[in-house]
Amino acid sequence: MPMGRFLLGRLGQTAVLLLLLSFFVFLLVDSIPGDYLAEMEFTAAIPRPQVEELRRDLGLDQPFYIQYASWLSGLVQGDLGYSFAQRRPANQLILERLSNTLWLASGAFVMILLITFPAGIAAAVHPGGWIDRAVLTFSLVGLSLPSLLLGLGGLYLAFRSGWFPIGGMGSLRHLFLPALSLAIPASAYLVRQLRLEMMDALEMPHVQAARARGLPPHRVVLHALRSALNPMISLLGVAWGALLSGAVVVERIFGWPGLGDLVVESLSNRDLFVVLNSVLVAAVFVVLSNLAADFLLALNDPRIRNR
Amino acid sequence: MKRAGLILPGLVLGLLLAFSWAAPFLAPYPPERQFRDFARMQPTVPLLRGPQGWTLRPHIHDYRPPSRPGQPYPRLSRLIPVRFWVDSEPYRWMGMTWRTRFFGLDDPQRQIFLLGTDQLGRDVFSRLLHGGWVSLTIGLAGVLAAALVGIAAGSLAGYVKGAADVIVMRLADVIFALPALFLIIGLRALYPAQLSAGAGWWMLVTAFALVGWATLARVIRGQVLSLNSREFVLYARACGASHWWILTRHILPFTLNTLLVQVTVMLPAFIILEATLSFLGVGVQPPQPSWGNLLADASNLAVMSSQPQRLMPGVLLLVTVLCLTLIADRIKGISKQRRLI
Repeated sequence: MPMGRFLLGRLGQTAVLLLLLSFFVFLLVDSIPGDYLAEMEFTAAIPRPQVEELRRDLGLDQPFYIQYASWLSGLVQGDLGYSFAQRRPANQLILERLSNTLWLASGAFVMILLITFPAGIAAAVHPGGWIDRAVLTFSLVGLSLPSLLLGLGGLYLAFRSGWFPIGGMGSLRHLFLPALSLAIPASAYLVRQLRLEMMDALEMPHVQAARARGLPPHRVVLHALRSALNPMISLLGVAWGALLSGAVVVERIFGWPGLGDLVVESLSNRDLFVVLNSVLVAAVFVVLSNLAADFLLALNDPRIRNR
Repeated sequence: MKRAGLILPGLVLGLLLAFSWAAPFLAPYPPERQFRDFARMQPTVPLLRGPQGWTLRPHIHDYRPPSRPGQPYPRLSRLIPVRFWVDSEPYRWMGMTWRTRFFGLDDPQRQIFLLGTDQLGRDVFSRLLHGGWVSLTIGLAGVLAAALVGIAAGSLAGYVKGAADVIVMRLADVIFALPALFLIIGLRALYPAQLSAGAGWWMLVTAFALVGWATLARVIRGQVLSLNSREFVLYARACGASHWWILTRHILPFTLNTLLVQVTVMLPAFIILEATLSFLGVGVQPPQPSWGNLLADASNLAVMSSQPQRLMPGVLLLVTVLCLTLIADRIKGISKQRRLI
């Protein structure tokens, strides 16, 4: 059962990492000046002893490690605190926004796959050819075009041409421009990696052998792709996690009600506990996507799961 | 041939850096100065062709405030010459007090706005130059800080090993798991809503060090680990060299190559990050300009359609990052050819 053991090991590592992460974020939460009730203290209508009582009830007068333990147990049960700006439990808010971000990120991810694989493979098959040069130019330009500029450009295009809605969320047409401005920088990086990996893979002995036996070119490419896929899976896992970070600015530009939009909005409302819990949710998301990438990697390559 | 690819982007970057460094002298007005009567103005373009034909003395057409706000500015036929080395109110630059600026108008009632003005009547051109300095230096200082922390943490982990290694690498894992933008926004939550210009600059540099050190530490650690068992290090140790000596004279110099590659990749990423953060209102705060918050000002559709020149910070950002990416590419190629050991 090598696959099971591999998975178990990775799950254990992930659990440790998540624990460390939660501790780190709790440190941040704890170092915010004041606590949940600090603002009440300055409200004349609420008597001081009442605030103290409330603080005792909520356990905010407990020492650091007990507070951490109760915060963590709440977290495990899906309690992400309370949003004072929106006056409702933060977990509803955060999960709703996270699902919107996931919708955007999935769209971007599909585009990344659609750009990276055809372009990377076509470039690697004829190195130095015109497709290769075009792909390299795209990669260079794409790397220098941050989502910020692409988003602004896309917004201007939508405004000028009227082909796309200017902002908001809804149909696939709403999705296109935000997803594209997320996908271009990411695929500019990935296409370069895939091209290099494919060029290496096409030289490998088993691919050479396949070619020597007279396999049609597309079958040879498929042979090479399986070895080139290995590093790509890890990189795609990282890219999927990084989409979340990039989504912040794209969501702001296009008015997409996602997690990044929520974080920035909450920061300006000084709804700080929502900010930090969203940071934690985003980090958990990244950790889980790396775990998923490892799992896929093990599926693709028996050498990894038997190690 | 390989070197040639470095010259052009290096030159462009050098020019950008020099222009923004000289911003106090080159920009006709202080970046925070508001000309409230002349808000949202179109550029006053210096012309070289007057009623008497072509001249070498540039001038602009006079203008006056519109009768109603929002109307276009009427252009008058009176010409105002553009002067060089004009007197200005005193300002501080390079530790001295200056009373001269590179160009401007003699007429105290009229101003020259090369890129027009923003909604508060501030000169966009002046803000662009000053903002460039802020954006570029934050990126550079952030990379420097990240490199220092990364080298320290990486050599600690790789040389001392044991518990230090475990702690540093687990910390690095935590940083890797946190999306950079979210981490910095989370950090920003710890600071008060309003920060002074200096405090904001330091906050960003610290945040960049926190985001960037982990990548470098991981790379440096690997190199230190492998170098540590090489013969020349063993020899130095046998000769009785101290740990500090071995680390700084025998190990770290050989990591420079990798470090340079990592740093050149990190620099454009940090400049983009600064612009993005300032765009979101989390980074450099107005009235202090930076390319990111200038873009934020210009990012609504009304401004984009009426004053597209205000997207200039985006163009400069693009050029900067393009040049830095080209340089990073070249350095990666050169370093691949010359593996030292």
